[in-house]
Amino acid sequence: MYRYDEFDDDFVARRVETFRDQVRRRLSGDLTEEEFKPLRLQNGLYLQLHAYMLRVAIPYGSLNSAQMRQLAKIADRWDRGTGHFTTRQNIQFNWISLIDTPDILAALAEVGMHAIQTSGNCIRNVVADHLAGAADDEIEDPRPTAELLRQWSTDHPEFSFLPRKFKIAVSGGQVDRAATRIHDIGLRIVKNASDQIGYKVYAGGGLGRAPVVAELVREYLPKDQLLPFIQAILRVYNIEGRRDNLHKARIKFLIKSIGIDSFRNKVEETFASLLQHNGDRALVAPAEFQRIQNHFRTPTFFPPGDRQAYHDATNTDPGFRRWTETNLHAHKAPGYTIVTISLKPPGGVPGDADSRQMRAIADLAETYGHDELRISQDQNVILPHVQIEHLPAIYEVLRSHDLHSANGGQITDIVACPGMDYCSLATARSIPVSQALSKHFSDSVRVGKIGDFRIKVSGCINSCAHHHVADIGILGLEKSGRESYQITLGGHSAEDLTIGERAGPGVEADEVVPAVERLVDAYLALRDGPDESFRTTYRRLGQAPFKSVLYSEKKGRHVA
Amino acid sequence: MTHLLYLSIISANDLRHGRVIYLDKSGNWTHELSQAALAHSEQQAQSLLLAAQQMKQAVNPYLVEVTLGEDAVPRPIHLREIHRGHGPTVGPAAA
Repeated sequence: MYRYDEFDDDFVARRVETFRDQVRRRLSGDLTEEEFKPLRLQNGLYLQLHAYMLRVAIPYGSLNSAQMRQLAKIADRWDRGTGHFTTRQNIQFNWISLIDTPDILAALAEVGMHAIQTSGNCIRNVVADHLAGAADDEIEDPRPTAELLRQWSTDHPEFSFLPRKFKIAVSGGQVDRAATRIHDIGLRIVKNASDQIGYKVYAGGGLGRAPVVAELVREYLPKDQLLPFIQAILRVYNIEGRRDNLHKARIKFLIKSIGIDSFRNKVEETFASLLQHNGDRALVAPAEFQRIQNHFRTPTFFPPGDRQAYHDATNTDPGFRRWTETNLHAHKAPGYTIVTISLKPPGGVPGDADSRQMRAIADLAETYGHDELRISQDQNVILPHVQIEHLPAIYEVLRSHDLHSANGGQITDIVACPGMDYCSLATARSIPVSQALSKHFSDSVRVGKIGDFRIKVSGCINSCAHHHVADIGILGLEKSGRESYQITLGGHSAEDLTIGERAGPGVEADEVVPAVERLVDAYLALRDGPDESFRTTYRRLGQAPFKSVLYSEKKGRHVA
Repeated sequence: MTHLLYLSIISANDLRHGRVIYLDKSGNWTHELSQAALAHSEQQAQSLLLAAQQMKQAVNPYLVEVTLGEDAVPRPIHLREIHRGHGPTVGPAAA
């Protein structure tokens, strides 16, 4: 875990006190809302439909038990006892008061957390593979790179007022688990022919109204050249990106407008100029990278212990056995595994955890997990380092806190944004739709038969739930005063990232579950054996057979 | 759609807590949609809005188009305002 040094502590503490003064001036009327809004947004404070919402950064989704307990304390003391983990690995508190916010930020600072750059047209919280530092296929832990970018980008004078927000993702595995190609910059950690570690650099990805898969900008970037290269991309964007139209201001529109070859040339020219003018000072000094990397040392793993209890539980408890089949991932160390703690109980709010659950998770991390936790882009919590013999004890704690859903990567592991229940930008509700779906597919045998299957529900075209990259994506819109849900099919967020295709007219809210049911039935009937994924079946057969069942029910009410 | 009758109310979020508020007939802010003052003309609405914008405890007051139910309670026309008026349908607040 990265630990703040004195510089970090001082910087965050000063930001808290600055914001405390800004809040005081807003409450006294010295600042208008127009003047205050950009200041509160720079500190992660939004004004949503029913209250202020505070978005707290969890850099690259990593936190420890003390930080999780502090989030629980904030939920209890200043919210309504619940936090919402997001697809950007952050946490949002939905019932915050402005008058409490400086104290909340001070409480976050006590454990090395903050809400800086979780909003505004700046470089946002860098996301990373949620299995960072643990996965068996990892080339290098992406967190030191993400932390380097966090430190470099925090309050960066050149990039604090970009044309639009800017999102960076880093993945260090053989498989892309950070959805790098839907980010403004996506970094894949790779090795070149000489076995040297560097980066494959993508730019211009994004979802929203115009989903775009990022283009390759550099096949291989030496590690020490990362910052000047990122600076070059951002400088080109900052100068040439549109500022006259909010909806055309992301970097993807610039790249589309001038073409990837022209963009690449401009970046390389700027990059060469930075190197020429700054020499070695432009590069990331190995000692500096090592300083950061030292914070992310692999824990000292213990030798395997007695697994009798694990074998007994596997043989006698079908729920436990099923959970081990769906919620574990291969670890790089012998005798260890990675646990996904599902925040998706049947009928639950995806990504929500109450304070009691947060404390239980913190205790598990401390007792069994080398004090490490990750938040995934799928809105779940990860215990990255768990000894296999401890799984029965962990499962019992999870079961007593309703955190034991055996659905990692399954059809009920639904991703959903807050939607119109909370978000001021939403055009329809997304949480009730996901709740109805997870209740409907609560039969674990059937879920197991369906296998890996991703449903994602967004409450507006901004696509915070990443519905474009799901097997079934659901987009909520308002049509003639009613909620209507557009369905996209065949999207995928990992290695072969694919934008889903819109199937046709939207369906009304109460038609979503039957429509998904028909699609799933069609998939089960059409797939070439249980190992063929939905996206493979979809690619093999095209949209037609799915579209025909989606709209086959005459009683189904469609909204144009 | 033709609206035979113009009806609107003023809504905002309160500055300190961010909660949904409505301008009532006495010129004060209330959390109760049912207590919201009705503007029966665009001129009246603009007048109420102007007054609301001078009140420091409200953030960004704006007009909300409504209809009247049989109980004479204003009902917002747009989904967003319906949900603002009723609160979330999920989560701890809905319990």
